Formats: sequence, structure tokens, C-alpha cells
Amino acid sequence: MIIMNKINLKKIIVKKMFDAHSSVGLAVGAIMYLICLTGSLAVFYPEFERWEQPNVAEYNDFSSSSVSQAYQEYLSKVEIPEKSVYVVLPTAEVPRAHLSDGEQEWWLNQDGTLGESIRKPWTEMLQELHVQLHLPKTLGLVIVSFFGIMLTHLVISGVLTHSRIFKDAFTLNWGGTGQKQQIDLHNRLSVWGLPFHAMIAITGAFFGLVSILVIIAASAFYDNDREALIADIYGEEPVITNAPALNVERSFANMAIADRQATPIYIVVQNIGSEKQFIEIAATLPQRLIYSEIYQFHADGEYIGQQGMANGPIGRQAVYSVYRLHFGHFGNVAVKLVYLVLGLALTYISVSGINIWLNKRGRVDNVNYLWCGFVYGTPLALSASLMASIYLSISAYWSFWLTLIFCLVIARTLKSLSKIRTTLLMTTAATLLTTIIGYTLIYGKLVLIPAITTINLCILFYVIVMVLHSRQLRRRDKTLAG
Amino acid sequence: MTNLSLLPFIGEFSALLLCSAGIFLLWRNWRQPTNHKLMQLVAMIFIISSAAVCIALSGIEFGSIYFLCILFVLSCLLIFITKKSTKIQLLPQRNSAPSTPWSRKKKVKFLYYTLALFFLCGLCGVVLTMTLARLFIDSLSTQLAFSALAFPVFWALASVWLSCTDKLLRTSIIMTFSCALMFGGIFIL
Repeated sequence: MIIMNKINLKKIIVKKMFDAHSSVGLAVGAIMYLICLTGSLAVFYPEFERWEQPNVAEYNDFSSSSVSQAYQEYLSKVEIPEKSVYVVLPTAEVPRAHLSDGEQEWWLNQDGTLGESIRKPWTEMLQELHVQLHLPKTLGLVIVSFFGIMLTHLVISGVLTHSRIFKDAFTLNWGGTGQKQQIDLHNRLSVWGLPFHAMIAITGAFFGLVSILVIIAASAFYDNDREALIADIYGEEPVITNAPALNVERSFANMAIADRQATPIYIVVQNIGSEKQFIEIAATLPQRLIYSEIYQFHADGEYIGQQGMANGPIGRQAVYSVYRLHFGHFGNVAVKLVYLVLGLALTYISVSGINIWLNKRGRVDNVNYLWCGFVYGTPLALSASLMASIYLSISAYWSFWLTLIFCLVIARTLKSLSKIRTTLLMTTAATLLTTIIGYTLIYGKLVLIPAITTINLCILFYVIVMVLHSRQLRRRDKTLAG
Repeated sequence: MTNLSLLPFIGEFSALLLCSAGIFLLWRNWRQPTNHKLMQLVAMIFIISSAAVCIALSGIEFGSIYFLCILFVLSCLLIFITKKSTKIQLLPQRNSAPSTPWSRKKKVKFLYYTLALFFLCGLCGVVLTMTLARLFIDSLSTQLAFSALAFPVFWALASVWLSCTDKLLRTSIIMTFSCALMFGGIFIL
């Protein structure tokens, strides 16, 4: 009797969890698809930045005198300098330096002179779609982070729903009506990618919603002084008065003495041009996931100390490791590729979750057409905005949303799932192919730069996959009709 | 003379091999009608050794991530290779009636649930995390760092609880009271 009751209770809990999982999944699925797809692509944002401006000088060495020259040029160019001015140093993935003051950004020539302004409309559009869904910054960030919470909810409820988690660990039924295939893929990718999905969800939620915690904790422990709280977690900035003249070269020389293992990635002059100015050099350390250690110097280059990101309290180290963990920016290109695969797996999980529900309804109506238009229209909208930003200098934001709306209208008009799929797939392939051809005509020999060629080849590979997938879908439809 | 520059490559390759062998054995055991304890044990030893090699090569932070990546890629490859294909068929369509528009009560419930998910569960998650941190961690900065990284999990747990309950209002009241209690506790502790 007790065993029977236990079994019944387990069944009831699984049923309730399943209902919760499917209702939340349905509510957030479409936006989750957008966030996951753009996030997977955004792993390669440094490469896309290079691709959008291939005519910028590339080099691996950037001397400290060039950094000093860049700051001098900046100060002579702007009337009122911003509070923090960064020089981001060249790396293997982006072998070009740039200067940024938060408002404006310029590429730097190897001698430190200011080059072209940074122009990356499509990459910016992609990043902002992922981070804030093109909404006003704070609102968008909070909403996207809330989706991180919902993803954590889906991960937890998904695991609790899955009563055959071990029994079905390697099951994959392919073909048939397609429903079992989608369920199996949804479950297998979810279970085997569980640590990654949970990590992405938690770190994603952290970025936008940690402010709630900051507000509560600041009122409880810091007399509402939020800056004091942040300084306690991330480490304090030095208080400087009567700062001497800027000597960037000396700070680099002292940095090499302070830590031989560190690789500088950027330098920032805080409160530039004022009596409070000082220098910070951020550097990565071998085998460490933290974004960087920050080495602080007086304006004349005299070493002050480390901020303690690498050797400070364990909590500080953990919080500062969140960034690289979420973005996949560590290790080599293989890590980025694995992040792309895992991100696309999460994208597929979002789409298949809704597909499973649509198939279960047992009828095909406008909801199916619009969903199909949205799923296949988003890559087309991304491709169209890429083409628009290369050829026509039209806003990447408008071209993305207008194309997506157009896709939904087309889907509603065609009223046939197979036609919607093949039309949108082939249009995506054609758009990307046209973009590559146009890009080659515009930039000529520059497309032969290995990094640019690699991206172009990847796009061409994607075009081929689209065409093959479209043909496969047509064959499938013919077989079913026959 | 020994070429030491090959060592990392050999290490990575052996981690890959150990993980492949472990997953393969797990799959073999899974395919058999009866559970083979020894095979399972050997598989686990292989997989743990692979993790150990990854960590030894790249440190605990990168090593554990690389190991999880290898595990995901290899298991998915195995699943795809061993998939069971059947002939494609048309998805049967039922002439089910189109869904009726939502009643006013359902709309109100949906709105309430969405708001509760954001505000009530959010507050509950954050306050619960901070309370646990206050109880079990000494340093304030570590408490805050723990809370910053753990609050999404507690927020999600609260939302799972709310979405599973039949008594939405009663659960909300319990959550509100416990929030108030924990909030007071944070200030007192």
C-alpha cells in the first residue's frame, strides 16, 4: 500500500513537473531561440569585427611607446576626455589594437597613431540582440537575464520530469513521423549538455539581475553605498591626489618586473588628465579562468599593487571568472567551436520543445506557419542585415526586424510548412552567397587574409548546408506525398 | 633525446582515448539486457582518469571544462552513430477542435503567475541565498559572491515550486511571509 502510494506520488510529481516544464518552455521558447542562436554566433564576435573592417592594419607587436603615442593623440583630438580611456592590445584572435573612451573607438596604427573609427554595425546588432533584445539597455539586460532564470527553471524541471534519464541515455530514434526523433534529440542534447546549459543559464542570469542583490545587500550591510559593496567584491581602486605626468612606458616596464607570467590585454588610464589619474594594466594569467588580473600604477608608472582578482578572496575570483566562462573566450579556437556546437544544441532544444508541443496538438494552423516562419526567418533576417550593412549601409537593426516581419508575413501567406521551409532556406543561402560575392568585389585582395578567407569559407559551407537541407526536405516531402 | 614538446599532445590524446573507452563501455553495458556491474565500474574508472588527465594538463578550471566538452562531443557522436533509423511517415493529424480563447480567470491567473515568477520568486530566491550565505559563510565579501552566483538557482527553485502547486495563492502567501522573515534575519544576523 505504501509502495503504491509512493509510485502514485512520484507519477503526480512527474506529471506536475512536466506541465510546469512545458508551460514555461512554451512561454519563453521563441525568445529563448533568439537569445541562444545569437549567443552561439556571438562567440565569434572578434572574428566578425575583423571581417567587417578587413582594411585595418594588423600586427602582433604593439610597443609601450605606441601606447603612449595613442594617448597623446587622443588627448589632442578630444576637447574633454572621458573618465576612463582604454587601449586594447593586439591578441592572436584580433591582431590589431584599438583605443576606446566608452563613447568613441578608433583602431590604432602600429606606431600608435589613431586610425579609422571602429565600424561594426552587424556585430553590434548581433551582440545587442543577444544581450538586450534591442530594447533600452537596462530593461533589455534585465529581461534577457530573466530568461536565464527561466532556463535554469527549465533545466531543473526538465531533469525532474525525465524519469527515464538513465534508461534512455543513448536512445535516438531517427525518421518515422519525426516526433520521436525530436523528443529523443531534445532529451539527449539536454541531458549530455546539462552542465553547459546550467552554466550558461546561471551566468546569464547573473549579468543583469545581480543588481537586485546589490540593492538589498547595500541597504543591509553598506548603508546604501553600492560602490562600497562593489569595491568589497571586486577590489578597491587606489585614491590618488596630485598625480604626476603620464608615463605609460614605465608602467609596462614595471609590470614585466611585477609579474613575468602575465600577458597584458589592455591598459586603462583612469581620470585621465586630472590630478587623480592613475594607470591600470589588465593581464591574463596561464591556466586561470578569471577575466584578468589588474595591476595598478601611479601615473608616472610606479607600481602600486594588484587588485587581487587572481589571488584575492575566493568569492572575487569566482565572480570574475563568470565572463570568460559564459563567452567561451579562453583556450584556442577549438573551445569556441565547442561553444558554438553546445549553443546550437541549446537553440535546437528551444525549437524542438515547441515543435513537440505543436505536433502533439495534432493539427496545423497559423501558429505552425508563424512558428516555422520565425525559426527559418531568423537566420534569413541575420543574413539580410549582414548584406544590408555591407552593401547599402542601411541600419542592421531595422533590416533585421523588417526581414523577420516579412518572413512572418510570407509564412502566413504561403500556408504550407514545406514551402515556407524551402523558400526561406533557399533565400538565406542566396542572400549569404550574394553577400560573399559583394564582399569580395568591394574588398578585393583583402579577402585573401587567412582569417577573412576562413570566415568566408565558413559562410560558404553554411550556404551549402542550407541548399542540401532544402533538397533533403523536398525529397522528404515527395516521399511522403508519394 | 626525448622530445618534451609532444607531451601535451600525448596527454590530450590519451584523455580523449580514455573518455572514448569509458563512454563506449557505458554504451555497451546500456545495450545489454542485464546490468554488468564490473563493466560499469571500469567505464567509470576510464572516465574519471580522463578527467584527471585533463585537469593535470590544463589546471582545475580549464581542465574540468575541457573534460565536460569532450564528454558531450563524444557521447553525442556515439548517439548519432548508433541511432535507430526507421522509414519516414506522415505525422497523423487529428481533427481536434481549435483551442478556445482564454477565459478572464485564466488570463488573470497567467498575469499573476508571470508577476509572481518575476517579483515574488526573485525576492524569495535572493533573500534565501543571502540568508544561507549569512548562516554558513564568515567573510562578507564571500557571502556576497556566493549569493551573486547562487541566487539564479534558488530563484528557479522557487519558480518551480510555484509552477507545480495547485494552491497558487496559499503558496504565494507562504513565500511572502518567509521572505519577510528571512529579510529581517539578514539584518539581525
